[in-house]
Amino acid sequence: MTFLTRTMRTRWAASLLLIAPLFAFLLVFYFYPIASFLLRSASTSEITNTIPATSIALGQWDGEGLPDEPVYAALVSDLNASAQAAAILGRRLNALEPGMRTVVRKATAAARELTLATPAEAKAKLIEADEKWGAPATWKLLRHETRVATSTFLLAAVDVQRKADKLELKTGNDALFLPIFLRTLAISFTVTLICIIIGYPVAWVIAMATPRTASWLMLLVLVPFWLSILARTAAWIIVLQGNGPVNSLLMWAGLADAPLQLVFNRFGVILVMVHVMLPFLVLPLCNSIRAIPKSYFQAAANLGAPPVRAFMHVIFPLTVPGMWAGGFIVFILSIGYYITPALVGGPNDQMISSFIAFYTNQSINWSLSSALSAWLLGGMLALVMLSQRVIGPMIRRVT
Amino acid sequence: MNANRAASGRGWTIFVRVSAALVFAFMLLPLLVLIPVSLTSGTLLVLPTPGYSLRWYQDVFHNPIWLNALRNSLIIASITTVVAVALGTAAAIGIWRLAPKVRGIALAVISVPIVTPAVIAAVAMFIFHASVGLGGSMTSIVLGHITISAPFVVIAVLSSLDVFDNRLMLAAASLGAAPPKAFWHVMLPIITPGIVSGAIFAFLTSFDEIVLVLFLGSPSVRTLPQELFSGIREQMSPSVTVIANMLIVVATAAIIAVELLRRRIVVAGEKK
Repeated sequence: MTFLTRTMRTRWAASLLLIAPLFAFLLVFYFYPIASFLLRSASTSEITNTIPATSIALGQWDGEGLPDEPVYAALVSDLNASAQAAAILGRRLNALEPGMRTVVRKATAAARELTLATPAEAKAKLIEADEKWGAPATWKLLRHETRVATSTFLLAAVDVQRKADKLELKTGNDALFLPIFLRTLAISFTVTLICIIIGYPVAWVIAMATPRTASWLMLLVLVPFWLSILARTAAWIIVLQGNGPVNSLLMWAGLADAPLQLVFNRFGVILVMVHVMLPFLVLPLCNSIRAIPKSYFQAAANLGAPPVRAFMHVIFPLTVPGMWAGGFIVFILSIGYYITPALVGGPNDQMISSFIAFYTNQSINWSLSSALSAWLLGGMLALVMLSQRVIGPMIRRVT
Repeated sequence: MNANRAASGRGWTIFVRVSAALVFAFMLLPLLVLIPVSLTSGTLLVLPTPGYSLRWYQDVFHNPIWLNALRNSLIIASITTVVAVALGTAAAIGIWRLAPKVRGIALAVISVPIVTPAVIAAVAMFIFHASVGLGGSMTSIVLGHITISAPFVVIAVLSSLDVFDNRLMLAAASLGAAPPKAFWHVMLPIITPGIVSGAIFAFLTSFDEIVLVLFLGSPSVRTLPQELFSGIREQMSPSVTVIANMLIVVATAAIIAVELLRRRIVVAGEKK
């Protein structure tokens, strides 16, 4: 008995030892970077790092009226400590409240003259530099953004802003991100639907073919799957461009008088995404069609069901789980898609990933790109949970 | 009545087959356009081409920008493959030895990098690598590529382990072979097709990867997909189609190799 438990334990330990290097690698170079990036969405460190003393001093302020003089003195010493930090502070606050960049710049200029000033002088001079330093709202904003955590960016990522302590949903032209999230869902849904419709006959033909033919047909599906997405996109741009073969064909056949715009718009994005995603649908669907016992087809036919009815009532329901599985993968992968919209989409076809990239590279606001990522990943996670909790049992009941 | 029914069945079969053929055409035909276009003697990407020549192939192979990118991509993909295969093969064997329940959890963790949006991983790594002083280096790209390639190695090796009969290891042990020796002489030869498939997948994943590279690369480290990306975005020239064509040929050859290996695994499984 002890011998057995000991061998079990060594077997267990050896397995863990084999797994450990990869898991440790992923932990350090994959999971940790992503986790710390996502935490950035709620972090205030970008601001507290620029004004450390002020942040601490504000922590003791009760939020009524104006803060005490030492807080002003702390701000003066923080602003004098680093011009770069002061510039960052201005940029960050400006993103929250337009105009704050100037307010901070004026304070920075004033602070330079106040290195030896008393706290009372500091307060008076800062308010003189810009009257906003005498407004409780400015200090409330600062206090809010120097707490342990902030919800500002997570809310901003879904178009909710805080106005005078109230949460407000931005609508109409002010709405920035919710329309993008909706567009992302709409494009992903369309791609999934088209993949199911055109992938079904392919999966069916592969599943019904002899094993030899099936493995070659499957190869035809798999090859595009592993081909460079860039190479495929380049091919599609040539095929769909104004003087490309598709337009020539349409005009030759008299279906179009002038070249149609087929690429660099929504049509192009959806077409190329379907081309990329189709294999993900065909594989699981094909497996679920293959799993249907051949006798079912015969039984349905022997009982006199016409082929179409046999298919609708007997066969089709059995392929629903495979369809769900494939459609789900296509949908999930489409939601996070970046490359295709970037290359064959117009400005109005960019999905949420493009905005995460934009706020990282162009408009350097990592907190916002982190908040958008958090919503995107959170949404995907919720979908995965939902598919297991709800869709799984539902499929089992249907079939 | 019966004849009628048979006819309608046949009609459906034809309909389904024709639809499937059209979808196959949709999947494959657009890729073929790259061949004539890359061989054009003109400077425009139009069909039919004014004439055929190898000028754009010569152009690519004499252009230091493309050659440098190709060299970077080959180095990155090779290092990535070696590390991903080592980490992935060990992990696959470890996972295979686990109880089925734990195995499911381990596999779920491993597949996270495959389904997480590449942009999120790219941005996170970009910030992390910059904070530890790796920003814009080739090391940074390699580290990123290993995280997304190793899962494919694990999956490929696991599929070859599925048909491996563990009694062989017990037999080797009972004949006095120490575990490393048993692994080397008994298990390794049998799972080699799986490891090679995994290596090919890892290489292709890294060689074709674009999103991580867009964030982790720098002007001094540019890869082939990155040059292709700017080529498509800024100015599509026949050189771009030459590169695209070459990537397609390399990947197709690799996938056919994997398919042949997979058939060997299946045959091994059937013999068992």
